[in-house]
Amino acid sequence: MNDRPTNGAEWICDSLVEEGVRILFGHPGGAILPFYDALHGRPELRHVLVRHEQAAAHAADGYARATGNVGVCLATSGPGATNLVTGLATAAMDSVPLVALTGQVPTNVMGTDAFQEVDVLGLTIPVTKHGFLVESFEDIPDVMREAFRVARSGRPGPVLVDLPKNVQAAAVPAYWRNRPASVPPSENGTRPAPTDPRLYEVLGQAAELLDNALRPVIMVGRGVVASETSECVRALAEAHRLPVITTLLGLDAFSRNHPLSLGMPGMHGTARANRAIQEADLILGFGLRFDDRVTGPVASFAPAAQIVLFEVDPAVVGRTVKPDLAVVGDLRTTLPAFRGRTRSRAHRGEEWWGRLRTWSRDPSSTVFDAAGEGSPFGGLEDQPPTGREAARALARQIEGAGGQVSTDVGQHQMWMAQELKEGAPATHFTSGGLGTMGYALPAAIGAAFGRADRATWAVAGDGGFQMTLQEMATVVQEDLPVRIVVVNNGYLGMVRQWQELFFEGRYSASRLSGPDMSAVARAYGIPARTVTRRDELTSALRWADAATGPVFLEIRVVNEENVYPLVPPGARLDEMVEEPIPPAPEPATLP
Amino acid sequence: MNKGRTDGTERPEVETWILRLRDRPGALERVLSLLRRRRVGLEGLSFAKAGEDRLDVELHVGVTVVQRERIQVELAGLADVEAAEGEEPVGLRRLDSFNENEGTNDGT
Ligand SMILES: Cc1ncc(C[n+]2csc(CCOP(=O)(O)OP(=O)(O)O)c2C)c(N)n1
Repeated sequence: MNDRPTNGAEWICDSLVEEGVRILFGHPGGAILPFYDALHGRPELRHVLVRHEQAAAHAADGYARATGNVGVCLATSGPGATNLVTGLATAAMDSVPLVALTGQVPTNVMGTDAFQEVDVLGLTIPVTKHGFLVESFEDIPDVMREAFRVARSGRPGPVLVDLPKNVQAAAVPAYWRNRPASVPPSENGTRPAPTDPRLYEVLGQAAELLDNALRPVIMVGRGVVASETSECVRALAEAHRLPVITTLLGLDAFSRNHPLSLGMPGMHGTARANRAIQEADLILGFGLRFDDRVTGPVASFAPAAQIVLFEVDPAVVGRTVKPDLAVVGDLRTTLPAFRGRTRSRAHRGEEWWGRLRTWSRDPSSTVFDAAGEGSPFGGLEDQPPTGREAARALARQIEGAGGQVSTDVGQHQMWMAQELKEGAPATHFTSGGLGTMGYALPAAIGAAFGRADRATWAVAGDGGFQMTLQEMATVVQEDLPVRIVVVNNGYLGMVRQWQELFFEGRYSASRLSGPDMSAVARAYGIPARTVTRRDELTSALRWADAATGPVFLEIRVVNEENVYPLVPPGARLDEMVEEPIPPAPEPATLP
Repeated sequence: MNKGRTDGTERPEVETWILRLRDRPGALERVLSLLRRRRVGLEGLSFAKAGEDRLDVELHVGVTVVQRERIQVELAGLADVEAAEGEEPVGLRRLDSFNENEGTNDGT
């Protein structure tokens, strides 16, 4: 029994503690001040002050992806709340569980266009899983419980809780506070969804399809990472020698060093993955939604395949690609049950594997290997590295030390996705669905808090980095050992690539004249280095990895380089363009 | 195989759906937002309070057969959409199906 006088804001804090929340990312303002006041006396709720509310949402997102727990962000009313929108949309597209708390003007002035009043509930409806406006302090415990339950359950997603200032400030009588909430508590982490009894029938059909398939492939999406079922997928694949394709958001669900891996599918996927999809007679999709960047034109996707989709959210089924069979349920339930129903046919598939091996699973072989200092650069060691070389060296450094990485959006994102190989679960964070530039740095902040035991890297292009670079101040204030890397090509690289390839080289508004990035980092108090030559890359990465506080690395790469392979827009997956053979290196010091 | 892998070519039909909502801020807007986002043609809408904190909503929507099930499932998954007694899937009832030519938009 707690007899301490309290108010709505303190009650909200109680609810957060009860939900297992330990950290919040936010930025204060008038309408959320009662809550910030309550936070002041709550050392168990750590608050991280970001410099822009978009970063609060991305940091909560990075925290959630790294830990599997619900991320929490907060903002004041009006502009604070509107600044959250991009982060909420990013989380919604990638099924990330978030709870966003926003201050709102007092209920007695709501609807009058009061100072900093905005209908954030209305504004965020399309980009949230659910939203609440708390109109009375009595509703606080139930709303908070429901908000966390909705965020975690089924396909996870962001939930908004709008908190008018008077509700936060309302005195809560002790007898109210000790009243049991009518909504039961939910556990942290995402919850297994209930199982439909008809499921087992469908599972039997799926197993039969696999037993009869000659050219099966598995496609793995973020659902496998979120449901922590990577091990089960690996066991299933190994038992049947099934080739495994990992989408951008499922990269960390299955190692691409594994002999069964075919790599990433879609627009910048490998030849082996894309051609396998087009020739497969069975696709087992686990926790993915067949995004258009993965499928190309839906009508031409996997023309010979029966498709079985295992997915927790029935609403995703058939939104783009229409599966022949849908196994709707939590992968933690459905995958083991499916495995139990299949007969091991590992002996089969030699012909299929023979065919698969004729296609490359390496996105590029035209990379100087910068793994060892003094390695042969063909006399070009004083030249800037290519973006791909930078990505390959970064991926090795990060994965070699068991680190975690967030990437931004653009060419560097695709090169990193192609070069990261280990697939340790929940170690790769990127905005796959919304493609949000500015995501990497704030998401890395959240991930660094969530998994302090891992070396954390943020890798961004010079364009995206400049969208949220102010968060270097947050990194410094929190003394977070985040290794910030900017792959600087002097362009909005991915835009330039499209202009080169599809707009006859008219570079409209894609050239960037950036600041001296390292000087900016130093101005924030972050030790910084700039790499301009190939032969500096490895030592610079080692230097960054060894840091115990924030560090910054600018890698100046070749300006005009394209990401390959590439499926041109509107083309089928097997119409991909592979990397052109580069001209012989100059100056020619080779024999 | 690959038959009907998309639903873009089907003709929409106008149907009447009944929902019972928890009458909370944003509940009705969320239903309408979902329909608009999924490009379901809204042909008619009426609603009435059902007791203190519930709302009954009647929607006339233009949907293709393939869209129907998916959107119904998605509607039923909204936190403020409640189960209507004895109905499957949760909270949704297909009352009627009109002639396919009755003034729908393309519904895709
Ligand atoms: C917020 C936002 N605005 C615009 C875009 C469109 N866009 C996609 S990639 C890209 C260029 C990214 O350039 P940069 O950050 O320098 O990375 P690079 O492609 O050079 O690696 C742009 C503008 C986006 N994805 N997000």
